[in-house]
Amino acid sequence: MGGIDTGGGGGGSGASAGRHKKKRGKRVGIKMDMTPMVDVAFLLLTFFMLTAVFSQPLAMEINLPPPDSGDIEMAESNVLQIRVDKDSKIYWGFGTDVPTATTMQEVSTVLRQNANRNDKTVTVLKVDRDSKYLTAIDLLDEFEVGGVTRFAISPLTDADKALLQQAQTSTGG
Amino acid sequence: MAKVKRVGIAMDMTPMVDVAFLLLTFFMLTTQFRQPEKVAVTLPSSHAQIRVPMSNVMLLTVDKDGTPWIRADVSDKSLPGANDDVRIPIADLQNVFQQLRANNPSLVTTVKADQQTPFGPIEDAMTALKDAGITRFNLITELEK
Repeated sequence: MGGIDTGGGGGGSGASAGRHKKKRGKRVGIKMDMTPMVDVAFLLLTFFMLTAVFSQPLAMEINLPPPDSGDIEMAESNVLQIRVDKDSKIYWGFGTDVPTATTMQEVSTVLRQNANRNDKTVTVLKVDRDSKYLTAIDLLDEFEVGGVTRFAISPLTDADKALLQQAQTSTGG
Repeated sequence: MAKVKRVGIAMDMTPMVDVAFLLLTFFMLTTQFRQPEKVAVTLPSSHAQIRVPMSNVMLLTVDKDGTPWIRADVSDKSLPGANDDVRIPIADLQNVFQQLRANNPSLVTTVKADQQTPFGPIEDAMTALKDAGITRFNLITELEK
């Protein structure tokens, strides 16, 4: 307690002594132009807001059947096969029918007419190993846009390749 | 008509600026900058609208040549792909997927590939995913313009 009293007294006396001796500068209210700082703040704010929202990538979800689910027997006539050959050309057909060539633009029409023909129709996408990923994604996108939810992705077998060959010779000749 | 005297409007901007700085601080602190990509790919575009989460992600990138790279958010830093994208041979993919999933079961699998990537390696990767028990995954695309 004593210490505080002494200190307070000392400070007080010193301050009062100074007041008499020194001439004090007049106090001026400082006015700074805040505009540039605020401008920068808003600029940064806009930047962070925009990048924070849009940096999240978009994706399409794929569900594969679990490996132990086994094979499901289906009537071939209920399987709409979309095949892509090594030159990224698209063919469609039911079961083991000779497929018909089509284009990316026409696929949506094909899907609309055939994919939901009855409750049992399943679409199978078979893409050649030498084809481009882009084609597969474009087709999957068409599936999504066309509301084709029952689809499978399976490898293009030699039998499929033979069918595609057949389709090519029939249209070419 | 009597002329209305023009008055210089002085508005107190302080609250607005306060809020602006608060938001600025918030966004600055919450923003996570995307790391520069080690594997450059040109993504295909689609109409997909699902957003990929930012954390707990296992990212499989298949580059133009069909080489798979993997990166995952796992706690065990000795696992492949825990720190940075690493190249994984196709034959080892299934094993690596299983190791990563065992370390962090809540991993979300995302697949990223170049437009020009041949479908073969992607088919192999999908088979590996399936064999590793990952039947649900996301294919990262760009929004179609």
